[in-house]
Amino acid sequence: MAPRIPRRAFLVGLGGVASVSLAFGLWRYHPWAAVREPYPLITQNRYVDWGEWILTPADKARLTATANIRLIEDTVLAGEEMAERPTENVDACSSWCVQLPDCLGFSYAKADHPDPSLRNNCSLKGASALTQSADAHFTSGVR
Amino acid sequence: MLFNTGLLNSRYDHFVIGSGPAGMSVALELAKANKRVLMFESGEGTGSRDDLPAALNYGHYPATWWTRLSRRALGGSSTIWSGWCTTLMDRDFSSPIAGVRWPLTRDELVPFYRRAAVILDRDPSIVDAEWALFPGFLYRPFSVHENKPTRFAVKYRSVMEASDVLHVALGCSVLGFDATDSRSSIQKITYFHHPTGATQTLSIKPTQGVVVACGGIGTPQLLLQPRADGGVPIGNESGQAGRFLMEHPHFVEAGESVLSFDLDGRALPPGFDKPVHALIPDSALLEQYGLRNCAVDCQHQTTDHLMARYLSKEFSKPFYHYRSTIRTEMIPSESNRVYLTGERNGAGFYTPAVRCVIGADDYLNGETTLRVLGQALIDQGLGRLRVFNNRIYRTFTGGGHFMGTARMGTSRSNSVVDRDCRVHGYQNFFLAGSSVFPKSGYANPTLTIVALALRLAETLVKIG
Repeated sequence: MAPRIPRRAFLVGLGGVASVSLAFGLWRYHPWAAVREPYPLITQNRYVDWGEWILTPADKARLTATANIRLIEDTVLAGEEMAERPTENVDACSSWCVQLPDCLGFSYAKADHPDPSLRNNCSLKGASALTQSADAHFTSGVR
Repeated sequence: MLFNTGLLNSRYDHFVIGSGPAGMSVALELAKANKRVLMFESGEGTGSRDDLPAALNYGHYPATWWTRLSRRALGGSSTIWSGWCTTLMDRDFSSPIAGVRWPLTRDELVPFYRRAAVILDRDPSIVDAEWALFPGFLYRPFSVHENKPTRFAVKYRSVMEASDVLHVALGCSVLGFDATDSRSSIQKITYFHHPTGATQTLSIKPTQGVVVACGGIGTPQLLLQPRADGGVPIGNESGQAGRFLMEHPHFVEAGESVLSFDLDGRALPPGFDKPVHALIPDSALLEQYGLRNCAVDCQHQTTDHLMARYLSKEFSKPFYHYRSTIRTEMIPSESNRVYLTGERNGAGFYTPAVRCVIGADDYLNGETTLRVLGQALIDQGLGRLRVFNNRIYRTFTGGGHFMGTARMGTSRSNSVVDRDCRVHGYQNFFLAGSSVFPKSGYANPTLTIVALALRLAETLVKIG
């Protein structure tokens, strides 16, 4: 017949085992410690992306303001072509340029350009030095 | 004396196999101590030996990478290196990666680094070139010596030709070794003389040191060569030879940085000439983000840039734009290895195959270092950063730095050589070069290679 364990001794023993288990679990797994995210993106929540630049929202708002563009009427820019597509008007062309960090200027072909295929064409320039030539069929902008 | 007759004898104090920066540094240092040295070089006096089969390639690097950046020529890879020098950092020695650490401290190597700097035509002050730049980042420039890298064969040719104690056997490839039954010392070197096609042996005594300095690919290739009796290859009793190959992934111009620091205008000690600037995360930042070592270089400084002009206006002080290439430490991985193929050259020497795969953690280490820098610049009002994702993950290159394939450690269970570059268990068998690096850091290896070679030479002087 198994020996009878006094109730008090049993409860004390059970409490001891539970305490040791709890202590071990806290030591082993320390659930209060913040889990470190491996390789965080950093840019989340606080910063914004502008063509892969890591910026503050204020940076981006200032850099993408169309006020940064100086329009030059009746002028075409010769420079490194970045991209081109038709846009509704010169403001839309200007807005497209400021969204891209590498756009340093643009030339917009007016609706009355003698070549129909070029009318309303917005051509973005990525060169640091843009040669200006007089041409009444274009409005250009430099950043 | 340089000769290519292939007629060699054993009447030397030490034998060095390979005449690259490691081998030649050991040999010249021993000669200075009036030790008689025979240095084997499979190349001829001029040009390189290109008639051996190229290493096969698997993994991220291009097909000819391992062969064209290893040279079987007098001077070894010093005939083609770029000349960039920097030391490993304290934490490269003290912090483990994947359970691996150097069994040395940087302090032990510093005196040898200073002497190595002189050999590489730099001022010894480059060894101390590390300054805090702003919280989180150190400034640790590369010394590039006006892009005039030291060519060992040119610089030391006349010394070798005139020396009575240093003999260089050109056109001789070492094929293998014999050792005592207890594998406690090398007792024979077998070599092949390319011009005559003859294979010869030299008997070696336990007091004569044998140093293999054949590069990160050539050294394990030699240690892996199978024995005719099918036994464990001499020098590979650990089974570790060829394993844990590391390169330095370079993510070229993966960053654009705009900093409030005029790095070109920064005063530096005289030895730097025109440095390549580099920002390195400090130890606290590495610990915070669980990163490994990584360098963000800053080149082509200009103020003529949209972001620099914007920040200059916002902060009412000049900002400078740089293009940044990232050099990251690789995690040593057993899968990155030098193997032997079944193809043999005319001397009966098996050709290597090389696999080197850049892991996700290696890429992420580079990318995260950049992003951490970008955050630090914003938080401290010091600039802005751009991270070109494609230039990290779609295009990359390496440094031509082949490391780790006969690594240093405390026991045969995880390494090939001990802290003195002695093959575990042997009395007179040593390895030199970047193959012994257990961790790569981000630093170009040549300065460390020469420093370790000088330290090894001191050990050899003591044994015979």
